Amino acid sequence: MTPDLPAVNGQQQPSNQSEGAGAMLVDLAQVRKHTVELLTALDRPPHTLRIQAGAVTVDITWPDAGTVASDTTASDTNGAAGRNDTSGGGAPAPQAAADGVATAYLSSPAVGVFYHAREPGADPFVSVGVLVRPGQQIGILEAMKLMMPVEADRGGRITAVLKANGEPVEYGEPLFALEAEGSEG
Amino acid sequence: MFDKVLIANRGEIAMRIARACRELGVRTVAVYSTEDRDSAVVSYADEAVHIGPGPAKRSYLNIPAIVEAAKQTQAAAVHPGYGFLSEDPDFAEVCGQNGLVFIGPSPDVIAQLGDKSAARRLMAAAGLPILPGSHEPLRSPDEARDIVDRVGLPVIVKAVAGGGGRGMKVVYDPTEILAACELVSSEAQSLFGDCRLYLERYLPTARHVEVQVVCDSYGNAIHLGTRDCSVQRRHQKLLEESPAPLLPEEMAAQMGESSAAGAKAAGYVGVGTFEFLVDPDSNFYLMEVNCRIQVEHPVTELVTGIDLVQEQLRIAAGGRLTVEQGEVSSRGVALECRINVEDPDRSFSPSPGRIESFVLPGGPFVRVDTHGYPGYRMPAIYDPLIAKVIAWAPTRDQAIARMRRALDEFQATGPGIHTTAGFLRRVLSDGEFRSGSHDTGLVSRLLEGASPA
Repeated sequence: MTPDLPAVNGQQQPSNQSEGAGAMLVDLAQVRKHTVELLTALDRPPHTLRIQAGAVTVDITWPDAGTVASDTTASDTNGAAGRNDTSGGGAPAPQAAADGVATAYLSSPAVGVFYHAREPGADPFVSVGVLVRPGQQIGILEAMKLMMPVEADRGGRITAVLKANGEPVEYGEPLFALEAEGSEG
Repeated sequence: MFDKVLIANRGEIAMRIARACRELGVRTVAVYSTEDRDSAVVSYADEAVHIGPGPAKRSYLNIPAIVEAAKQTQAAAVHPGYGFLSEDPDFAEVCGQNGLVFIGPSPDVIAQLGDKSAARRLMAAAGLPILPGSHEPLRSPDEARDIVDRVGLPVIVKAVAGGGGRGMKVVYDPTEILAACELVSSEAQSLFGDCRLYLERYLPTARHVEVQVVCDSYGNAIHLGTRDCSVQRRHQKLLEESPAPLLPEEMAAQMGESSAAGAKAAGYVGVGTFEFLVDPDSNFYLMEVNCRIQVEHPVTELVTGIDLVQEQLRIAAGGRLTVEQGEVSSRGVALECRINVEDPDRSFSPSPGRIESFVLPGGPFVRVDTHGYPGYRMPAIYDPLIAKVIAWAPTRDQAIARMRRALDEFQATGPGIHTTAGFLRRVLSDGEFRSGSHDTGLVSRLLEGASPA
């Protein structure tokens, strides 16, 4: 569906890419663009979206039991999602609609370790497709053994989870991408 | 030696520390605020961590952020530089609790010497001369009056937790004592979170002379001679030199020996500074002890050949002093000019902005410590220091001539940018300064315009 999704970071360099690490930022922008296109193409909001851009993996799950994996090119999906196409979400991404959608970020308020959920195994505070309100808790930041709630400083629909659970983050690093409320064109 | 050191500071001193680390083969981690994202040390250091927004409270004074940055990057030690957290005993303690070596004295020593009243008692007991005044923090205005009766006017009311030239007031008139105590007390409460005061005799004409000490953790303490920092405006140093001019050799030796003894008595480890006032009759009195590398440390480095930041790193890593007192020798004279982005014609008000053209002096025996570069945007919310120009020569006259030449070469221009370089040139041509007989009143005399050309 999105065979041209490029590398999002240096962890998994696709073999067919000639650009060096310097192309990272451009690549991230591309991933974002394709992600937005993909989400726009879905006929209902998914429950989670997992994107791994090196050699491309996209997993999508919906709130009900049925899940769809939009597995595109070379790599495996880790089998995390089934392949039964219950919703049609795996349809090829149309050219439509992505233009004019403003992507914003929810960023880390401090240096620390970022957690998606209240405790190991618990549901994440937010996930892709969730509409967040300003002030809503979106994660936990641990700094010097102190757990601090991280709250959204703006509202919108989460379009990508940019930091893994338990990943160290710096001040100001983007944690989630979101589509600003009311900006859908 | 450490594998990796985190530099918990910014500006020129962050670059200075990073350079010392590189020479020792130690990897460096810079930390920076949003305002400093384009700073020189961020690109110079091996790694950099964004620790917070511009205001220092949320970045360079943010202990959890700095400790987390050190843990994330697996730094073994933290160098605090000067200012910010460099003399915060809590920070030193938290570093220790998190398995990080704090490059400086122990938290207890910092706390004891940071309490100016406790430091007076401790140092008096170690045999250092202190100015007559209160022995304990003041308990009441009546007590202040009693002390004034005993030591005579003028006196200076100081915050126990004070430092950096802030939290003090001189009293010339007995009716002003109460108001001065109230003023300094409330200022100290807001600046340092500690409203306790002490009081000592004030010397209207005195020279500010300090002694550099270096101590290892095996009980060895040496001193590296004197620096004169009498060229001050409102207790902020503008120009320093080593050795202190016109100071009798015997007296300099006595100040040095008593400082080393005081450092030993306090259990001091690392590099530190004993600040003294020298009165016109050549009596010297201890003012305070600084538990950090000083801004003016390069002048001592140039006359002794000892790299003080490398010494700090070696000592913190458990090394012994590399020289004994008998091997320390001071050669020639070094001067340092602090160039601030301030407008001397508008009462030294800060004039930050983008520095478009930035030309540094060069040539023999001139050193420049700076974090600036052409195109650098000097933030408005931090220290106005943009560069330290340091010059060495065999004699003081030659060092002054060399410094004048170096300042003439210095150029920092841009929209709204003013520097103190021109004012420093005035100091260098002043007759009193050139004779070496100046005291801490020199700058205000120059600014009053009554200066002889």
